[in-house]
Amino acid sequence: MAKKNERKSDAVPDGEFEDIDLPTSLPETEEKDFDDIEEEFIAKGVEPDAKKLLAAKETLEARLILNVTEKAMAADSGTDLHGFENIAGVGISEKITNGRETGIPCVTVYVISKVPKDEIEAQALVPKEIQGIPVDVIESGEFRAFPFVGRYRPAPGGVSLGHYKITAGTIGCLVTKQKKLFILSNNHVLANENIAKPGDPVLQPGPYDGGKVPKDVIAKLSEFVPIKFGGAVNTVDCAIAQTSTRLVSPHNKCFGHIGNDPVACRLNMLVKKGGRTTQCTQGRITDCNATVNVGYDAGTAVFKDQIIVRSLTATPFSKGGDSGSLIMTRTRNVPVGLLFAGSDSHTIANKIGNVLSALHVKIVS
Amino acid sequence: MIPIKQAKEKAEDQLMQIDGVEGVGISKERKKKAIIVYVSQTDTTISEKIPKEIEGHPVKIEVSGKFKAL
Repeated sequence: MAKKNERKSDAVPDGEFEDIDLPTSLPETEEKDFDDIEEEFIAKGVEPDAKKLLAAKETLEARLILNVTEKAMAADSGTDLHGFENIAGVGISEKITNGRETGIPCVTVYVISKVPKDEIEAQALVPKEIQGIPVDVIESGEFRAFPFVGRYRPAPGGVSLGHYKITAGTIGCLVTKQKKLFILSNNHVLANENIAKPGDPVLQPGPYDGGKVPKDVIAKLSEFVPIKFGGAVNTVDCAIAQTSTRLVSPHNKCFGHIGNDPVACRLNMLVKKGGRTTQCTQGRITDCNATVNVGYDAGTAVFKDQIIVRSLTATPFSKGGDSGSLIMTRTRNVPVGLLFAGSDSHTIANKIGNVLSALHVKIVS
Repeated sequence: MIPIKQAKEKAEDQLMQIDGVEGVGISKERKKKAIIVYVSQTDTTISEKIPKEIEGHPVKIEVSGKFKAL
């Protein structure tokens, strides 16, 4: 295709979604020296203190979760006392005292509800400390397997979304222009790889996650940058769909407030994203100049000037359904990229600056 | 020596023609930059077509698998 990227006109009738006021922008943030972070990241082994902490956590985890028999788990042991069924998880975090993080590492036990000591079975009691490490109890509620595919009103960034004819992708963030409010995601999420028409319904959750017209319509497709298949070069896979302040939240499901002033990609920058499938993950930018072939339902497309992110852990940074996720810096939640493709080991994202200028929009935070 | 970005740009089209090459980029490990060639699988018939260096800049092969829209 020889045609240059062009934008489809906004066909959502005025008045259907209300105008909004532009938020004031945040000051530009300067991230740390990434070489230092990289060295820290590579050189850092597990410290002795961390080993002790891990051992303490594993002891408590075994006692409260792993070694609990089904019989003990069945809440009704002939008493009205709370038992192991009230334990939601065990982890390691900072000790919180009077609502503030103290900087002291501790073993954290997540419970479905906090109950008085005398209403808990002796064997399921959480100790004040374990192997010399303090223990904190946090009321987390029950952890559900896939909360990111649920229906949210208002819907935050990071949860399931999709054009009514696709499977599902992810809400990136909110953007604005001319006092209108839009959801930002990929073309292949909001515009079904160029096939959709402006005004088409966009569902939250996406159709694969049970979203239906008309009850789950959260936005209507406004514009997309067409994806050029074959040899022509693309820089973005993005689209916007107009929405309303009462349907969406500017926050991210994983990380809360996001910055509205994007930063440029830098090698070894530490980043994170919230997405429909793999939820909250962290990674490291390993490439800011990638040219890649990307396979779509409609064919292969070449993308230049892309970001590559690799996971910081054994689990992947992204999987199918995470498309549209906003990638932001790990420390300050500043937007860097728009996730759209990947393999089992590598994630590919458009540079957020290219996305915003292609659509002439600003991030709402 | 020309900058690594220019060297990558110059070589990119030719590298992308090689069957099994999925991408070309630039990475930095321990403060040293290299041109990265992303390949679909570990395969000597792919890797032997890729030069060890381009315009004096090191070239590394990284197995990424094929990329697809998520």
